[in-house]
Amino acid sequence: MSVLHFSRRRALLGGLAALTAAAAAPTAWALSQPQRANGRLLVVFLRGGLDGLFAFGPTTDPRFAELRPTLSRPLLEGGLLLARSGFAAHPALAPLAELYASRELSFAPCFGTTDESRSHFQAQDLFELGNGQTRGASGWLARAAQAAGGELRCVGFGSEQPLILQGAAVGRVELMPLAGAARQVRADRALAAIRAMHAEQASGAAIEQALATQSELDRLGGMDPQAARGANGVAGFPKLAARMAQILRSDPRLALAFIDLGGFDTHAGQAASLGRSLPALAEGLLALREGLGDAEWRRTQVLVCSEFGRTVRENGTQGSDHGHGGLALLLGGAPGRLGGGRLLGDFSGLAETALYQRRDLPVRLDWRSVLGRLLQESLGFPSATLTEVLPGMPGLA
Amino acid sequence: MLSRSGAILIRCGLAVLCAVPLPAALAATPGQTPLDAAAARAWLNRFGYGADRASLAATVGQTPQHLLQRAIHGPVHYPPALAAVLAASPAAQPLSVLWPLYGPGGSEKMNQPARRQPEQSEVVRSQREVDGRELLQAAVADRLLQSANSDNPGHEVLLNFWLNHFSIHGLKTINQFLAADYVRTLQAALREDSFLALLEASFYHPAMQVYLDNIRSTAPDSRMAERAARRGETLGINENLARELLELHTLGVDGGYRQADVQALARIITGAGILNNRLPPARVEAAGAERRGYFFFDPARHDFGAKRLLGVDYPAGRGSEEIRVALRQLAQHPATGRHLAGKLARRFLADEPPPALVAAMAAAFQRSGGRISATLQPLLDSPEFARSLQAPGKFKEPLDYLLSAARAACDGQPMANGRFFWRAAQELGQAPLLRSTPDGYGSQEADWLSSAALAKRVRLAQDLASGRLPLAQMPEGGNRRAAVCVPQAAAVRAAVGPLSATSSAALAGLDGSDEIAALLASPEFMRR
Repeated sequence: MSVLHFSRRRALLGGLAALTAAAAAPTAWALSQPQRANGRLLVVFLRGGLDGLFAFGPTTDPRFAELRPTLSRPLLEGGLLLARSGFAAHPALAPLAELYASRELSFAPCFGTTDESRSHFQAQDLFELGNGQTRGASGWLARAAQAAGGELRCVGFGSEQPLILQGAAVGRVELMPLAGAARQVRADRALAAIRAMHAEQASGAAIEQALATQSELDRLGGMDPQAARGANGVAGFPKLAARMAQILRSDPRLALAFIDLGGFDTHAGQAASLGRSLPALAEGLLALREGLGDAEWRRTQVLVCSEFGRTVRENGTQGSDHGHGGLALLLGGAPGRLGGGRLLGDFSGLAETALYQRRDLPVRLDWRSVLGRLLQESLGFPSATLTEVLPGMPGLA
Repeated sequence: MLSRSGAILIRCGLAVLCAVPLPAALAATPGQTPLDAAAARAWLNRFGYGADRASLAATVGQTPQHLLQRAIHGPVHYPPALAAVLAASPAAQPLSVLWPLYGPGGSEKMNQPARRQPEQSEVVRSQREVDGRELLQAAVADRLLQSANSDNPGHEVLLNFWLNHFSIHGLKTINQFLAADYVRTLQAALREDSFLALLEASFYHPAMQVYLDNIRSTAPDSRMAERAARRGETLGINENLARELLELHTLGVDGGYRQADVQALARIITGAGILNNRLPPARVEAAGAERRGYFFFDPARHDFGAKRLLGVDYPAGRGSEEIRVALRQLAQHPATGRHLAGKLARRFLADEPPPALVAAMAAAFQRSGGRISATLQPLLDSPEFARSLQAPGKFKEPLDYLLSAARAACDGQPMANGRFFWRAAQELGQAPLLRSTPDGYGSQEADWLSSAALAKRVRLAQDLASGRLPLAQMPEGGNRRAAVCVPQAAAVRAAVGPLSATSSAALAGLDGSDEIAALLASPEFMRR
């Protein structure tokens, strides 16, 4: 109920809600919920703006077919019904529909940030900063790693440090490239000098981190030179996910994890490109679950989302343009308050009056309220900590 | 800053007339001050891809202003061996040869199996796929080889800056065949020293039209949409290019445009697209059609209605002419000057440039009608820039690092191994023409300083120092041993420049390849 309550309030308060609601939010919520401090949160961020309605669509809404004459077809012809929601999943997402049935997955069709620009980059920054602004000194996951402190580890799978992981104290966030050349830094006399030269600088901490990661990955069987290079395309996700699961399982202290996948900016010929991406996404999530095994899966929550959703109306080239509210998936073996085979937030249909600026899905579930809930459940963060990690969070989902 | 340089220009007109030494306070805007050795090295790492001994000697004593003019207007030479490699590259084929083969409706079809299958490939590739891969790899490799070997490195840096600003993805459908021509087209526009020329060069190039999905964007009430409707198909608008034109190419995300402007611009550019090889001549020459190279404006797809873009009314019925008007409007918008000034200052000075300097650059952009050299003038004349040349502090982007390390290792030996550079740039995460998102690569420390990135740099330094990398290898093979660059300590020291006390102490006692690896991976060499 708090979700509904919150979103109505947000609608009343309008755009400034993010800034003003934090003070008014009932802070007792955080403490009244069951905590599972021994959990893990993995964020799978789909860059490019996934067309959520193509993945999980409201097939019972008569406007669905009308607004999306070609893009609605896969769901109307072969969609898998998601009980009690009025939605169906794209046939390529059959494994996810099964997880929904077994109450290991829930979904929010109108999840998102306060972005108004419809810019990929601004919306991604907003999501990753988590401070309600488009600029900031650190990403929310880095702040969460900082707040978790102690023994807990935070890892980004990839070789570039995304904004979400920037700004934490040295060593709080680790990067593990899973793909790429398997050649290693050689431990020779030069390396000793290089470490000494960089010792006092940010680059020195990065080198030390890299050497530690290198030996850890080495112990776990090295990198996979066959996997995709550089930025992670979704096609390589199943392989990467299996490897991620192996790494996460190897150390229970790995409590926060992040990976981003590209290839969701589908302005034209979307059915074909998402027809390739969605199976890889589903297969990867399944590989993750299998790789983790039951016990680890029970202490893991996975958030899958994108920087924004796309236009409700199909565009003129069998694709969709940049929109607002989008799809979030929550997976895990022991769903908390947000888990377990249901639709999160609310959904008020596709009538033009229900849309954001008469074209996009509205945001009914603020990203920070979801992140806050997940951090509270996974790491036991008290509300004061949540306010530090997610300034302006308008209450917990 | 500007008023100071302006005063000098008034006082003595052209630089050649200023033979009489001026009092120190007046004579030396930093832009007119000859570079000393330290500044020359820093300059070559800023408006170039690193220093070797010959380029250092050639740059000492030059002024930033002169070097900037040379970067825009001056000739570019490559070592003869490399020039031959570039001339023989598949990517050197003009678009007039490639388009009839691979353009839409071209003769090289998807389903013709390749005459010679690539090694280690399990699936049968079509000739088209094989050719596409070869052409794109060649385009990327040639751009890297040119950047690495040029005698006018400032030109290469500016060209790469604008290629990255108007970023395309070489792997998007037919862009494999178009990427090299896109480079040449932007290069020609850069020579015009005009932002509008660059904007038009990019917009009217098929590679941009393809990349941002404009080629099928169609007005719902156009003739073509009506014809399609009779067949039961729906055609309509695609906003992608219009949005990125505003957000990335011109005004910037904070430039004050709204969703309605995105939609208006998307309508204005309906009809812009590419030429189909099988389009009947009557359609190509139809009233209102416009062909520019292989860009084609098809009036049958255009929205001829009235529009309003950023407060300016576009009367109905103008057709392709209104695209030119719109591009000019965007290029002249004050937000565009601010956006570009900030981006240039971040690339060439610091991650957080002084706001007053950025404002001066934006004003210069506006006053000069968008001249690139004029926009950079306040930067070159600023005391901040002069100071930064004496104490370089900006973290090198991967491309800066790769090419400057290779230049130091080869010290004038021609670098012809495109395959090495192409793979290394990809591994480091900054291969030209291969950024998948339209924002281009970042230039900030936060974009690039990570543990994984540092590991790659250390590894590259170790590999280069080993003296076993065949950087000089010609495409046709030849003697592999003769093709390696064996770095010389003196050359690498000259490229790296002065070291901090900490670095000097750490290097004490090292020699041979250990010293070279450590120098190339030193904190000093990672910054520019």
